[in-house]
Amino acid sequence: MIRLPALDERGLTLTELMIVAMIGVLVLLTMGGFYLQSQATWLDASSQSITQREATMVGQAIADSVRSCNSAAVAFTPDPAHCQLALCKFGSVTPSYYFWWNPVDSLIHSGTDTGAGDQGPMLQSKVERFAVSANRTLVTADLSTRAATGQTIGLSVSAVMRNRNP
Amino acid sequence: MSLEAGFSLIEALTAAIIAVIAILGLAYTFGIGRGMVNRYEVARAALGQAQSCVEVLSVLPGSSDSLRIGYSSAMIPFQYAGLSRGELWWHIDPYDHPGIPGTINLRRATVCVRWQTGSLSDSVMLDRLFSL
Repeated sequence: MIRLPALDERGLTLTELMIVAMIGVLVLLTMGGFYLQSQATWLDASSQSITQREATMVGQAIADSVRSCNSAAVAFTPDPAHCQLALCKFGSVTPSYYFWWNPVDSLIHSGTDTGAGDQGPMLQSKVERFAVSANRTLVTADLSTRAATGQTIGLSVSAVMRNRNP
Repeated sequence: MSLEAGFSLIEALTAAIIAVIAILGLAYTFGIGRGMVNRYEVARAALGQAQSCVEVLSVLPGSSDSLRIGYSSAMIPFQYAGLSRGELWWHIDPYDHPGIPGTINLRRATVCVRWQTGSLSDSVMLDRLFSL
C-alpha cells in the first residue's frame, strides 16, 4: 500500500478553489448557452419544415381531388380569406367532397360533408388563410399556415378538373 | 508517484481546443441546416407555381400560341410572401419520342422558375409532353 507524503495531502487553497469554480462556471454557462441555442434552432427549423410538409400535403390532396371532379363551388365561409371548396363528381350536382377552414380550431378539414362527414383536420399547423377561386376548369387555392414557432408558410396550388362534362 | 501527477496545462489546452473545434463544427451544421429549411421553403412555393403553370398549359387548346413549338413566354414575376423573388417562364420544344414513329411527334413544355435567396440562385424546372 502506497502512503502519500503529508505534503501531497494538503488539498487546495481557497484561491485555487475559486479559480477552478469560476472556470467551471464559465464552461458550464458556455455549454449551456450553446445547448439552449442549438435546441432553439433545431425546434425552429423542425417546426418550420413540418409546416412546409403539411402545407404541401394539403395542396397535393386538394389538387388530386380537384383533378378527379367535374365541377367546383366556392363559398366564402366565414369570409373571403377562409373559404369552403365543394367538389362534384361527373354526372352529379351534389358535392361529394369538401375542403373547408374550421373557425373552431383554425385548421383545414375535409370530408364528404361539413357535418357528420368531417374526417377531421388535415394538418396540425394553424391556417391563417385559405382562399380558393374556381372557374369551369381550374381551381386555385392559396394557403397560408403558421408554424408552431411563428413563421408563416405560404403555398399556392392550381389544378384542372379533368372529369368535366364534355 | 508520476502516475498521480495529473495532466499538464498544455494537455488541458489541447483538449480544450479540440473541444472548441468540435463544438464550432456542430454549430456550423445547425446553421447550415436552418438555412436549408428556409431555402426549401421558397423552393416548395416555386414548385407549386411551376405545377400550377403546367396545369394551366394543359387546358389550353392545342392551337394556342402559348403551345406553339419554339414559343418562349415572357418573364412572369414569381412572388412569395408578398415579395418578388424571381421569375417564371416556359418554352415549347419539339420532342422526338423514341417509341413513336416519326421525328417530331410531341411537344415538350418546359416550365422554369428561377429565384434568388440571398447570394444563392435556385431554380425549379418541370417538363410535360403534349400532343402535336
